[in-house]
Amino acid sequence: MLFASFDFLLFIVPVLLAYWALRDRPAARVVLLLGASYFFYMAGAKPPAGRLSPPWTFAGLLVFSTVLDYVASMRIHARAKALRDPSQLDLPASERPDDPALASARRARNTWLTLSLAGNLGLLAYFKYVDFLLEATVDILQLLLPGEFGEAVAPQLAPLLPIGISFYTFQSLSYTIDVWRRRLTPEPRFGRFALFVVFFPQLVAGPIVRASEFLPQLHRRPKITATQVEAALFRIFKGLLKKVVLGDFIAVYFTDIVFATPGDFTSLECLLALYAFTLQIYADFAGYSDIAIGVAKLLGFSIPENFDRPYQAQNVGEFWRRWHMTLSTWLRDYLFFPLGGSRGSNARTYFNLWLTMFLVGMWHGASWNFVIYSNLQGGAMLFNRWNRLRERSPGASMMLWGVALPLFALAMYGFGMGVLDLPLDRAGVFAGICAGAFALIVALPLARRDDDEARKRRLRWLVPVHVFLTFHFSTLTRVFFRAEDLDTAKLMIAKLLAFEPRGVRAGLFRVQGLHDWLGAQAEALPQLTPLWAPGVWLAEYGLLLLLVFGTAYHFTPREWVDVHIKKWFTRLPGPALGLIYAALALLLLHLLDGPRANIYFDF
Amino acid sequence: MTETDHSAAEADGLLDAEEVVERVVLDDEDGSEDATTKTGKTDSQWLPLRKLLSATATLGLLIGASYAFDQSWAQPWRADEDYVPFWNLIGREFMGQEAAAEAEAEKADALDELAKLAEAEEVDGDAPVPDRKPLRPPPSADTDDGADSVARYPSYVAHELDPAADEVKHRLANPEALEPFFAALARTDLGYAGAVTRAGHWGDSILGTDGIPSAIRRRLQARFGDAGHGFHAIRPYDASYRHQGIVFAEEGNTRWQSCMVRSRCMEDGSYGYGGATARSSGGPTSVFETAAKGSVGTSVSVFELWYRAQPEGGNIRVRIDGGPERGGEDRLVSTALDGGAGEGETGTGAGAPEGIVDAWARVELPDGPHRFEVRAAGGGAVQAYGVTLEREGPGVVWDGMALIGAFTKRLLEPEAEHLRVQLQHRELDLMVFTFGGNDMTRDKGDLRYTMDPYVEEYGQVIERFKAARPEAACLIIGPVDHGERVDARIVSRPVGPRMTEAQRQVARDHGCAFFDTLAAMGGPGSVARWKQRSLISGDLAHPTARGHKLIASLVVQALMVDYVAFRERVAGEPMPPMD
Repeated sequence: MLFASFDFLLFIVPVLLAYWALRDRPAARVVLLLGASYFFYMAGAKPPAGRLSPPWTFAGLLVFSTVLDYVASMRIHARAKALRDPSQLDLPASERPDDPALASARRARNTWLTLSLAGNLGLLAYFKYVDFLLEATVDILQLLLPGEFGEAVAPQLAPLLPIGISFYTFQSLSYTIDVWRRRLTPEPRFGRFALFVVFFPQLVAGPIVRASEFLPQLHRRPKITATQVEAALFRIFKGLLKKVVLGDFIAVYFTDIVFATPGDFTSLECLLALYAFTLQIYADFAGYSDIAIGVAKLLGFSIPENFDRPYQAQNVGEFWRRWHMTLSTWLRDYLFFPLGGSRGSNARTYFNLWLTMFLVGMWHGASWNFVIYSNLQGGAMLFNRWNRLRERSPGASMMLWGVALPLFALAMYGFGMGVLDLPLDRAGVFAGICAGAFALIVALPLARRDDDEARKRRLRWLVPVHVFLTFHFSTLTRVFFRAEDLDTAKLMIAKLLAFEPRGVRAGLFRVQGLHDWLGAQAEALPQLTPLWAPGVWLAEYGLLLLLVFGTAYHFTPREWVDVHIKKWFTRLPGPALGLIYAALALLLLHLLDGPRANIYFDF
Repeated sequence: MTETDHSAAEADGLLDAEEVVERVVLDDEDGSEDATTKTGKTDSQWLPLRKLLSATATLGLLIGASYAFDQSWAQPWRADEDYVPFWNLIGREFMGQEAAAEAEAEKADALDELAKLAEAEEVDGDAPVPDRKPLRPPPSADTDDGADSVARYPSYVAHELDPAADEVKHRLANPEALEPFFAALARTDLGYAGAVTRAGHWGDSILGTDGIPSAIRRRLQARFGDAGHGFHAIRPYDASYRHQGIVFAEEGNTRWQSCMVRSRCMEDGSYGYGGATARSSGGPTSVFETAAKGSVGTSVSVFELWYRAQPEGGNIRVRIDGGPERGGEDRLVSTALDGGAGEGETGTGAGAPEGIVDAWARVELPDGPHRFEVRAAGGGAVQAYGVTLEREGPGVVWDGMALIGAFTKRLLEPEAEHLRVQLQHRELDLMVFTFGGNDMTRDKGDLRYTMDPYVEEYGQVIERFKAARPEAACLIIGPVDHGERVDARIVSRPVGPRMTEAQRQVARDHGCAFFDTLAAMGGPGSVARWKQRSLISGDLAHPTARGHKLIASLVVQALMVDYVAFRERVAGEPMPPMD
């Protein structure tokens, strides 16, 4: 079920009423939310186009995952609890006493953990990655052994991706791993654990909630204040506006059209489509997260934030701390730190960084596009760390400008020619732009956190420069994120590098329905044409104005919205809020071909 | 029990944070003992929810009012819709709608399969279409001495690219109207030297990126031979005007001033063959270059500049293959009427100011890849229409002429004599028209109740073109299904079938063949399926590149079935002479 739909309104009102009516009956409350969550998962609206997974099949997977993790974590905990001193399990191998009971407990716990990992990640691998793994294997074989595999075609199993599998898999895995690491005791009640896995506000598109954050809330009687209700209503309103107007609308009328056939559009139009997608994907996902957080709040739950105005980041590392925070911190806590984090050698640290960022990228999709996207993010993360920590002696500078920069340019040239299939001259332009960005970043003075105030003030101009560079790195690498396949991505990049002096075609930013309606009004009442004219102009450039507004909004101080507008909104009486929501519903009804799934549903 | 803060310090990157270890113990508490407050009173759960409840009630009342007062624009769903709340569970599982949904999805899959086949056709690859060895044309029936020397159509020998007639579901209406085209095509098919079959394809933005014309061009050239890319405007007058199979660029600090029929900007109606002309007093350069790769369009042997000669006209420099410094050459074309305008034939525009004529400069070169730079070289104002890039043949040329945003009646803008001179020079065998997309917006105006005005003006267009080039056959390709978003669905615009029928009537009344694109797409309602399969873009009016290929494939199949039928029917009959 989609949040921005009439179905959801029909669903959430009775659920909220029943939930608060059962406030003092904890068991019934859990049963209600469990039932509502499964219903939410299974009862999607008929899609305007395409297939929808049958409800029982994928609910079965959800049950399987829930039972597996519940049983595994119970067994893991039981084996630790049976030991005289469970803390010995936390000791490094060299310090661990030679105790057969301890060894047996470790083996059993590891077996159960492996079972849980294999079960969850196996499902994820099958449903999400199997086709790509087969395709990649065949592609690599064709490259290495063209004689034997030149004509080979990868079999396609094409399983339908269960909605939300990437989210609930990570969520329930965090529980088992935390129990195994003895940072969490298992939930004694199966019902509460099952609710943690399927809690509907964040089930299908996050935020990814940790057991240690959510389960304790089920042990408390839910409470809510009028202020929290107002905050939740504002959050939902903000999310809907982002998702419907800046996300879905821009997608339907602009980005989808350009990305479907980039060859039909000019360089400038393709570039604008990239900017539009950058805004759209943020609005879509952050909007969804806002709604999820708001709905959870109305039920008395607090779930973590997922976005922190990511395009204001000054470097790639900060960007990923602000973007889809619950995924990136999940991988940080459950992969990067266990691998040793940045405590080992330089090489090990760089490897850990790359692997973590590679998996952050690959979590988003299974294709060569995402392999490139992930490596670009990983590479940028390594570059960011290297640039901050590199030696700044004259000798090192000579190496940097004399060796590293030409090598980097050469690598980009090879990437342009070999991977992006650019002709010689365009590959040169591509390498030149990349090398220019490299040179600019390393040439900029480094601002450190422990600099004195005077130096900080002097270097304040660096902030917009870094924000600009990070924003554009993020925007341009999204070519690989958004394009349907590698060929489309290549076409898009070739278009961008063509620098065609053709501008933008008339009508590209037109909000067609509004434009037609205003045109008909002007025709019917020609004497009022001066009144309609500004509206027609707005409709003609509506999408561009939205794009500019949305991007500008992102760079405004947070307080403008989260304090000032919120204060104004929360002062409104209930009926006025009802009117505002009704206006929003009308907007959704008339702007789009029905509710659109969140982009992250596909992940 | 504690909560964890996932965020690192403010200025840190994601992986700069230190690991924070916390332990959470979950007991069997369920919060039931919190039921009373410290004062012993049970707090009300409803009080804080007042605002939520009143907002919800208001929203509910407004939705209810939209039904009570029958305001359909505000209703989230209507009684006449097939909306079922929570469809995947209720509709699919408990109302038995799964089979219907599956059937609809299978229809879409079948369409997808068809589109994939159209995309996978060999002609879209990079392997060049092999050149054909020209044969000497037979003697003309006009000059023969007796019955024995009259050239006759040989029996038709099936070609591997011919579609199976019984598999082509959507056939042309009035195919007999295409006989002049089929006769020309037969001579090309038989491989006679110089047998170039030319088609001129005019349309609105549906031809904008040369998608449909280029896909038809590639398919016909793969079947009959590549006789070159054909016509290209002197400069794109719109960002959507672009051609595939030819590399175009503009150089210089100034731009040509474009004028096309949509803008009605030429008082004398001299828009040229492609419906758009360009003027300059000097400076801009248009570059036309054969494509570096592709199945067709990589070679050219005849380049022709189409321009207007006028008193005190300026010069146009045609630089071939980089000019003398790079082994090529420069040719200066004076467009001054008194300066010996043009090197080829000229014609006088009857309605044009006295002393102005259309003219052409022709350059013949060895067949191969070439580059042409057309520069307004000063010495006065110049006006040019476009260029053609061709080869000797045998083969097919399919000119794509997109008139972005034009209503059909804008084809009446070119002055009649000027049009005649232009079309006669082009020696077209077929004139193709694909309009209607913009005219559909008139369904709220003069076409609200009747299509008669449209039928009338489209008929005038056809007659104007037929009068200009009576030797050519005529084909109308109907409009694509146009959609609109109504509530939660994509539906076909009702004007689509009306427009199709109007164009069918025009074709019937004025001796043109007709291809029913709407029916070939799957009939009314197909726009949703086409959108679902990325065959039509988000504006629900313009096909995507995949959609172009599919439409072109359907048109070419329909043409080929009737061409084969023509050849089988005329086998043994006298063949008309070559022009």
